[in-house]
Amino acid sequence: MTCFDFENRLQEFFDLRQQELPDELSTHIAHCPACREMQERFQQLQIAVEDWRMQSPVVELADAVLRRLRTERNLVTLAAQSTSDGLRSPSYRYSSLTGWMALIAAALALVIAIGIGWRVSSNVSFANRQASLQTQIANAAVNRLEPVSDPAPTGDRQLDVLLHDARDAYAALASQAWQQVSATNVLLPPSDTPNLFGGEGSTDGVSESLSRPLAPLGKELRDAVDSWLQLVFNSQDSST
Amino acid sequence: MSVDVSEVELVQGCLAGKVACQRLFVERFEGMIFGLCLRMLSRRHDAEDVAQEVFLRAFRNLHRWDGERPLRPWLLTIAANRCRTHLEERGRRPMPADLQADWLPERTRTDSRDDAEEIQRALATLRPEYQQCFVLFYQQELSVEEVAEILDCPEGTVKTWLHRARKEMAEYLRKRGLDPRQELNHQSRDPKSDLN
Repeated sequence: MTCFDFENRLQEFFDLRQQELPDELSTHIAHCPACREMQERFQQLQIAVEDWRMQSPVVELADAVLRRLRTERNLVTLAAQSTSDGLRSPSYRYSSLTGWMALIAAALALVIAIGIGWRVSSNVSFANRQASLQTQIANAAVNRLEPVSDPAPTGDRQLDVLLHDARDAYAALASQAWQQVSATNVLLPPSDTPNLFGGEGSTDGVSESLSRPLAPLGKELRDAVDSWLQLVFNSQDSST
Repeated sequence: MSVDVSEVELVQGCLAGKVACQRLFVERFEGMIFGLCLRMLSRRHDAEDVAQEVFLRAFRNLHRWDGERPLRPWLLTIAANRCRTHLEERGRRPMPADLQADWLPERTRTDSRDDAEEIQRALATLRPEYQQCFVLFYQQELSVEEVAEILDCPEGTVKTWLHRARKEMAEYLRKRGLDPRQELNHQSRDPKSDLN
């Protein structure tokens, strides 16, 4: 018998829980110290395992198991009741209402998100369009300030139209000023900077750089407004 | 209720929701289930939790039990699987040092208890499938064939696992300084001589 065979037979001996070591195994270990040592180690393990197996700790699980079982059954019963009550259940209605509210809130949030995205994406083109539109308005205002063949408006309405046109022209010029700032890559002047259109009183570099190209336009506008006012007052005087 | 009620009657009573049958069911098998859990998990608290869970699962699935077959292997299958799952989950968590040696109730320290503790420590070092195999074979005293049926694997695999478990545990005991010759000599002494 080889040592390999001995090990296999020894395992079989333990697997079958045999009591007496077979003779052929005893013969082998009689002249093979290595296998004898292995057999002794396994035998010692068997003895220790027997002690280990005999330890029988006491436990009482019945109460705890039955308690958990009862709790589990109560939960199942409650779940079944709430399912059978269905739509009449206040909790169901509440959860249904909450679901609808959540759905509506989600839809609103989606619409707002799309709107914000659209505004952001079109911001640059919108600004450009706005600037060109305001320029057109300013030009139109200036043109309207010139006396034309149209009948002149009278009274408060004339003044409203005049101020409206002036406001549009001012907005257009402000837009042009902003474009100028962007083009020259300079910082915006602080809020207490003198007027952008005058140029006379500004000592600040930024406002000077703005006021210089805008000054003629501002003067032209002021002149146009003055002449228009003069025209209005004259026509009012002549009519009265 | 009579204690010698058959397994089928017991199961039928449990399925009918009779609390007395459920109590008897737990009391009849708690020693076996808890013993397996305690040997495999080495911690009394964990073993109690898992053993309770085993019974709850058994009650939930009693309608699936084949009345033609014995109840014990069916319960042991559930217990072995739950223990293995628990061991695998524990393997992913750090093990608190103060929970490592509470596997047995307090008793007078003896050589026998020392050996049992060494075996339990050695067992805890094995892979979960070796532990399952070892505990079912030695602690539950099942045959290789029964172990294979419970673990749902070939008998050859069970023999291999048992062999490796023995070898690793024997090696562990050797490293822990348990001298087989001394142990064998101690075992072969007349037990009465200790009393004199």
